[in-house]
Amino acid sequence: MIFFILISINSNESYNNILVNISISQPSYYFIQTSEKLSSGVFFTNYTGALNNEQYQLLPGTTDNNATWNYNKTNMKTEYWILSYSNGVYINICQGAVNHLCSNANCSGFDNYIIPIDNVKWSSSFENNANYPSLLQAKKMKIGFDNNNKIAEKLNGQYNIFLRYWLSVPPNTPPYNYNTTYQIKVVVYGYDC
Amino acid sequence: MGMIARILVILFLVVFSLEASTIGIWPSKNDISITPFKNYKELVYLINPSDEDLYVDVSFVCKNKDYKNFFRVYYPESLILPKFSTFEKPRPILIVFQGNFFIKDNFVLFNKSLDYYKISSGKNKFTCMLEVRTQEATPVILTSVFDIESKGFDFKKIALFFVLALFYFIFKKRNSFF
Repeated sequence: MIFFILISINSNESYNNILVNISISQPSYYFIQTSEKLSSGVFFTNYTGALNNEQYQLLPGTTDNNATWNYNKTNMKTEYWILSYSNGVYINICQGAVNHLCSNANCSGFDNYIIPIDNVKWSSSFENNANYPSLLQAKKMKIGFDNNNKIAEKLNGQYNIFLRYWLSVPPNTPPYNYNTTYQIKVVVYGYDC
Repeated sequence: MGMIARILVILFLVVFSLEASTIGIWPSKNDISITPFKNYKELVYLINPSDEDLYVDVSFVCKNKDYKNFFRVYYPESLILPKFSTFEKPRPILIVFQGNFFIKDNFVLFNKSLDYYKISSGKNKFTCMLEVRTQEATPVILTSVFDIESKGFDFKKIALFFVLALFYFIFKKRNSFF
């Protein structure tokens, strides 16, 4: 009998002394916000168009034509930007084109003309002013995603990344509308885009 | 403190998302183990705190393109992310994994490649991504990594079980003689 009583007292004590440690881990997440101008597409323009933020036709043989919103005429800042926020995870942001710039919608057909995608250059920066993102640091656009030249790498927390785009039109390019799709991809750091 | 930070983030998103498209995803990384005859359900959540519905395409890609031989994946291929869906009201995506019992393989006989099916065995690892692509002029692709281990039958364990069972019956039979 005494034995049983002792057991019961001991067990009560042990219940009272239990420390409950609960740790609730928040899942790692990230979100991306793209500016309205970037979401609605990048359109290239000539020198006059760049000053007015309007799209004008380009001439063959011209180099480094600006995208319409590379320099907002009111403040000389770019209107192409990405805002990233990540919590508990490092992320990489990449970009690339689906195809070359093509005159036909599906990029095929005997009457399809192309401007090779490496005629498009882009530059990214955490600063946004008349000098940055800079044409001097621009990289060539690639088809697919460029794992060697990312928009930004190993981001954790909140960042504003600013972008500018330029297009050189090869000489003797026939006058058509040329299109492609740029895409932006976000991956966890350590994985390829 | 954590809660305060979260509210600030949400407010920030709502205020700044009036002009631009915003999309978020979690968890960003998943580790799962798949065996045959069992369904594995995983949920990935999306948010769209902007003031417009977002149309997205969903796809599942693996580095090893042969992954369909080892497991099947089911998920919605397109969906609408309702506006103002925040952390409190995210849009879940259900992904179902199903391990294959039979695996297609081939062997070469007289310079001819012949296909055959074998029972899934051993462990195979796959690095995959769930990709969520917005339908915009400049699409944004968000990814959630899936590190997957596909486990087949462990023939060593089954063989050991049969050997032990055999020993047991022999031992039992010998004892019944004496």
